[in-house]
Parts: sequence; structure tokens; C-alpha cells
Amino acid sequence: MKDAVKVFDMAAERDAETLLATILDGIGQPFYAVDRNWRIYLYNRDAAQHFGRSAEQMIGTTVWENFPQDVDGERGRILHDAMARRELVRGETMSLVGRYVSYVMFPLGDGLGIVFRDVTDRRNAERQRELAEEALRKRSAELEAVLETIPTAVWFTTDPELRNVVGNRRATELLRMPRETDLSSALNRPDHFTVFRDGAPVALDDRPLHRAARGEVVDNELLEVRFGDDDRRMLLMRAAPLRNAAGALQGAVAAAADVTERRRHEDHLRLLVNELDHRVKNTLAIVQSIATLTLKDVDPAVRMAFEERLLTLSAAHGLLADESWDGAHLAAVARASLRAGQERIRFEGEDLRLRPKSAVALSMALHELGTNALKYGALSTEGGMVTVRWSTDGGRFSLRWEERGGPTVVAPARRGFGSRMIERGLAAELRGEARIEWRPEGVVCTIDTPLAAIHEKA
Amino acid sequence: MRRVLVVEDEVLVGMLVEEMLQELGYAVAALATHLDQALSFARRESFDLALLDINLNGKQSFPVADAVRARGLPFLFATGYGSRILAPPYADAPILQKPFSLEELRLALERIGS
Repeated sequence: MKDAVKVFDMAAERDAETLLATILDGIGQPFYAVDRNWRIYLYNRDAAQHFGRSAEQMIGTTVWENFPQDVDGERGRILHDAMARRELVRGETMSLVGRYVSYVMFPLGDGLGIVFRDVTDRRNAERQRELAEEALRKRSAELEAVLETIPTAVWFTTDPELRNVVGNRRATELLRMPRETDLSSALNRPDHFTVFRDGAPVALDDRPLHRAARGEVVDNELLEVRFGDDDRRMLLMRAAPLRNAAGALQGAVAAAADVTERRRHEDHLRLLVNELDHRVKNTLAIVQSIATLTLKDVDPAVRMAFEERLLTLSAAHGLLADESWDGAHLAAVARASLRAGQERIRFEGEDLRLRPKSAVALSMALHELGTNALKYGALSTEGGMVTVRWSTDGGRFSLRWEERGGPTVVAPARRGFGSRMIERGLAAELRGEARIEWRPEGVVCTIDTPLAAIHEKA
Repeated sequence: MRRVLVVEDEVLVGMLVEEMLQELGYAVAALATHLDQALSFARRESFDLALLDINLNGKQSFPVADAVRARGLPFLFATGYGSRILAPPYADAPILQKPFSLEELRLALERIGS
């Protein structure tokens, strides 16, 4: 009977161990227990997985045998503290294997029970979020610093009705408002300025920020802001809608650069160019007068030739002055130089902008060719025609003047002013070649130069 | 013969214009080189049309144009400034670019009905 009880006791003990092991493995978190000498006597499956060591390796050994480096470390201090206090202790720390854990230590027998949860992923996610928030704060601070520093006024709105509008320092300065002004009210009910476009008042909802808030992109619009004291500022404005990832309107941003001084400078320059042009034209008129009055008794044809050259030069100057001496279009130059007989001249070629000096040189050359054609060539008879064809292939500028249907051409015995001016002067000016062929069927003049020598943008 | 009031501050140009007008069959009623003189002529002289340089020694000749227009007479501006210098009420007024040829002067005079 005594043996039977013993057998029963042993079976019960085995059952209790199995039950305990089942419970420990079932809690789903690492757990181990140590006696007062730090010897491990309970150690579940999750603890084995966490520490990478089996129960067989750990049971019966001390914590410090397994992790000697922790005896004097923070983890050692926490464990010793919990053992000494004999009460429940909670906290988070780096675990013995370098993972972040949330732990609960509690008195168990004369030792400690320790259950913990690996929170490394959560801690990493929190750290990532903190880093991202920090980066965002830094970026926001940088952007804010940039916005406050740039000389461009910037307004943002976060709704289509412009109920919430914020702007940078320049935005309030430009509109002469205190920094703390409610920009929404100031923009929706402006009382000390009006806005004009091309001299006409601009309605409130037609202004760039309002339009952008409705989805429109406003690119380089020039507006004039007029204040009560008659001061006027010219603003070059851009605005764009702000949309979320799904493309829905979220608000708008508008930026304005004060170009008042630049415009004044440009106006002044334009005035100077106009004055210069006027003086050049007046001087040419005086030269024309002196020549005409001096050469009164000279052959009228000679006087006429001189005058026509002078007027051609003047016309080329006029075209250039219209463009502030920035360049001139070849088609306009050609038409201005060939005023007579134009209905029988065909121009073929894509228009291009000429440098100022090239425009004058080509103008004079075409005038000489046209005058010759009118006097002796294709334009001297009714059925004659002239084709002026140009191209800009392969980085070269080629122009061909070709006469057809005129009287049979006989090459002149000696080169006149026009021929010399084209073949020598023009060729040198354009850094290329110019050749006149006196073909019996009609004069052909070819000009070939590097495009860069004549083209403004080349 | 139709008589022209010529307003031109450059004497040499004025002389050439005189010759050109004569060659085209006009007579020069008067040649004014200053604004005051031009205004006086425009109000008192007898002429059929006026040829007005816009810039007279830095002053604009529009008051002369006003006086000519007030008398119901035609006029033609001549200038080296380009047509953009004209503003209302003269934005569409006939204008001749200096320097100009005899033919250009003839056509411009024709355009103002003279």
C-alpha cells in the first residue's frame, strides 16, 4: 500500500510538472524563475527562443554563469534590486541578448519570477517615428527660415474659399500690413489697396491665389498693386493649386516678386534706346539733307542711289530700335530692304532672329541686289521674278537670291559698289562666303555663313 | 499751289523738306524751328496743311497739332521716334518716319488728302 501511494505520488508529481510546463509554455511570453542564489529552475519555451539556449542548457545554472557581463551592468542592478525589494517591479530595458524588453519581476518562493515581452519592434518603430518627426521639424524649420528670408512674398491657403490664409514676412510687408494681420480677411476684403492687370481693375476672385485655389495654374502674371497714397508696385506672380495624393484640391500657394524697380529700369533703358534711335534718325536725316543739297548738280541717279542706301540703313535701324537693339527678324529685314517690286519677290525660309550687326549687313546687301534687279535684272521687266530662299541646316546659314524671267544678263566689266559690298564686306561681316554669279538667265547670289555668326540664339 | 507750314528744328532737314515739297508742287508757307514760333504760325499764318516734327529742341509739337486741328486743317507728323511715341488723341495720326524719301513724302501727303 505504501508503494502504491508512492507510485500515486510520483504520478501526481509528473502530472504537476507537465501541467506547469504546459502553463509556462502557454503564456506566450518568455518566463524564467531563479532561486535566491540566481539558479534557474523554471524556463519556458519562449525564453529558450528569446535567449537562444534550451531549457536543458539553462535549468540548474545561474544567471551570472550565462551572462557574466551583466553582473555589474544595468540589467544586473535591476535584477538585484528586484530580489532585494521582494515586490513586483515593472520596466523596460535592453535584455540579456540585446533586445528591448518590457519586464515584470515578482517574488517567487525565495527567488524571482521574471516574465518579459520583446518590444524591440515597437521601440524601433517609435524611434523611426521620432527620427521622422525630428527630420520633419528640422525641414519645417529650414523651410520657415527660407520663407522668412526670401525677398518673395508667399501666401498659402488650405481651403478653396481662402478662409485660412497664411503668408511669410514679405507677404505682409509687400501689402503694407502688420506681421500679425489676418491675411484671410486682408485678401478677401482689402481696404487699402487695389489690384490692376493691364490698367484694368482685377476682381477679387480673378486674383492668382483665388484662381489657383479653384485649380488653375497661374504662370508669370504681371499685376499692379495701387495703394491709397498713390504708391504703385508691380508684382510678377505665380500661383498653383495644392492637391492631396488622390488629386483633390487642398488649397493653393501664390508667390509674388516685386519687380517695380526692374520695370522702372527697363522703362528707363527703353527711353534711352528711343532717344538714341531718334538721334540716329535725325543725324541720318541731316546727312541726307547735306548730301542732297551738296550734290544738287550731280547726276540724279547717283543722288538717288545714295539716298536709297541711307534710307535702307535707317529702316534697318528702325527695326532694331523697335526691339531695343536686341536683334531683328530676317523676314522683316528682308521686306524692309526690298521695298520696291516686292510683289514679285518670293521669300522662302523659316524666320529667325538676327544679331543687330548681321541685320544691318544683310539689309544693305539685299537692298543692293534689289536695286540691281530693278534697274537691270528680273524686276526690270514685267515677267521677272526673284526668289529669296534661306535655310539653317547643319549649323550653317545659307541664303540664295535667284532671279528668273528677266533680260539676258551680261556680267559687268568691273565690280560696282554693290558687288564689292556683298562679296567682300558682307562676307567678312558674317564670317562666311558671299558670291554673285552673273548667269545669262538671271543673277544668283549665294551667302553661306556659320549660323552662330548671324543668329541671335545660336 | 497748296501751301505747307513746315515745323522742323533741324535747319538742314527743314531746307531739304522745302526742296522736296517744291519738287512735289507745294509751296512752303513758313518754316518754324521752335515751338513758340510754330504755335504763332499755326494760329496766324495762311497755309493749307502742316508737316510737324514731333520733337522741337526737347519740346513736343502736339500743341501745334492742336492749333492746326482747331483750324480744321490736315497735318502730318514727321519723327525719328517711331510711331509708338504717339498717344491719344494722336495715336492714329499720320506719321512719316525720318529720314524719308521724296516718294514716301508724296505718298504720306496723298494719304492726308493733300
